[in-house]
Amino acid sequence: MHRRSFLTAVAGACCGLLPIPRLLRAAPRERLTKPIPGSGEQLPLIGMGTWITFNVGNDPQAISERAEVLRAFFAAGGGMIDSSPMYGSAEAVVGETLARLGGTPGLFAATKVWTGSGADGPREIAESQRLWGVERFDLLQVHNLLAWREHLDTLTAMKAAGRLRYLGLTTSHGRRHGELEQIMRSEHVDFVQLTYNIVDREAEDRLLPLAAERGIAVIANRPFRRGELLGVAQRHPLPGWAADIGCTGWPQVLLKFIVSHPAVTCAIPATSQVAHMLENMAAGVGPLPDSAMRRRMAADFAAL
Amino acid sequence: MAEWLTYSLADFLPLDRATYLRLFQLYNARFWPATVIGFALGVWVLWLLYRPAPDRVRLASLVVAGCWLWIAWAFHWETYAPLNWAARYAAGAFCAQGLLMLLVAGAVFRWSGRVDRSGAPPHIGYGMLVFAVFLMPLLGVLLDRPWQGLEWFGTAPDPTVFATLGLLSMAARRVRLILMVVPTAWCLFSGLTLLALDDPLWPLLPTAAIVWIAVWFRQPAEQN
Repeated sequence: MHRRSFLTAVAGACCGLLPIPRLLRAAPRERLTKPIPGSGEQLPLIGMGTWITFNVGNDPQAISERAEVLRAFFAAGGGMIDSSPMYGSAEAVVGETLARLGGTPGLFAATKVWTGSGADGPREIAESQRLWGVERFDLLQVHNLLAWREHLDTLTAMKAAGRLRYLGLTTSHGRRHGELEQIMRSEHVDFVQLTYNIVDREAEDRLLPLAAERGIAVIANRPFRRGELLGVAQRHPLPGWAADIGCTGWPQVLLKFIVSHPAVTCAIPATSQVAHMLENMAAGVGPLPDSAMRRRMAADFAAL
Repeated sequence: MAEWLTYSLADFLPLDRATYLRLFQLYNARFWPATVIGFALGVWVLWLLYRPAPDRVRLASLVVAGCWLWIAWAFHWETYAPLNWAARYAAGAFCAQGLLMLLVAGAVFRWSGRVDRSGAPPHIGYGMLVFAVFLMPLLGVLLDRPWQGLEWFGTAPDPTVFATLGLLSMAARRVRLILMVVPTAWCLFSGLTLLALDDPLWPLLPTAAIVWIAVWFRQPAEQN
């Protein structure tokens, strides 16, 4: 055995004995993961959203391009794909592209139920399953808290019957945080999805601490504010400290800020380009900023 | 209500500009040669209205009504709705407008009690028709859109709505009042859609609708 291999093996064995998060014992280029609090299952830090980017209808050229985006995602160790019936044809395109890739080990299929009628929920979920081509979803979320009581009953029953692994709720754009907080306190949910990025940080005050306290996984949406934050950042050179956290581009900086929050489980940037996917996925490896660095990142970004 | 104010225009649109423009390319290819037929119908409508006797205006309105019904089904329902749920409502509105035009023009009322083009608004109306049939598609060329994805009278909503406003300039006041609701609403909807997509043509339809309404309201009562 080579010396390096031996040391790696010894270090790995030691780490396995210690109760520290896998995140901290990651080798320099190992894909970083965080545990889902409710189960301990590890989830890659960078997932993929599908709002707008996968809503391309039956355009064969665009579908082929999205299949390549998905191939790059899984090749880089991607896990969660998040969609919704609200996103037009996105679920159908996700299903079509997943089928083209054949096996997709590591897929964590997450979608939403989006109907104002609780009675319509099961039919909509069944349609989503058909479009995705999955036997069951890993995660079903109530979209924007729409008819959340009725849908939570449905999802809870599905989970109890083994037809669903996790259930959750979503908000976006910082809306209805008060109501979400009440539900997080009163109901048993595995995930919440909310808007959190280097600028939109309201969730830090109450929701993220509550999620940590209640053992709820957090998905951060709108990591770039639909490209707005990247538009601002990319007019400026990368700060010197970016190299300290292993970043070679602004997308990595913005994503690492999000996923380095202790209560955030993963972020779900959306893209229609392979090059951007590779940039996003690069945020899922290497060192993460500590709290002091996070404060500096936020302050420097605010000063741009 | 306050929550609605936190949304931006783009938050309501689940697709980007590239997909929207490509939509017309795929639509034109799928229903080929509908674009050619639509364009030919547009030229026919212009010929009919060049010397606008009541029967010719009525016939032109029936043709345009058919275009509204076609767009309701082929464009909004079959093509756009799978990408944008709001298009289902647009399909309903276009269908209602088409049926209303058929009824008004073909059965219930006479299209117009006065159909000459001597007044200023009808003259402007004919100009709008010419613009919709011949020039609106060319605007796409100026913006480097692929020619396969150009929007043509008869098959695409915007030029058809624009032409309809022109046609309505030749109609009687009460007919205009009934039939202006959906076209002007679409002008606003389309303008907001294109604005959200950062399309430079976004002011075209809302401006046309505003000018059209302003001209109509300035028109002396006896001309109505």
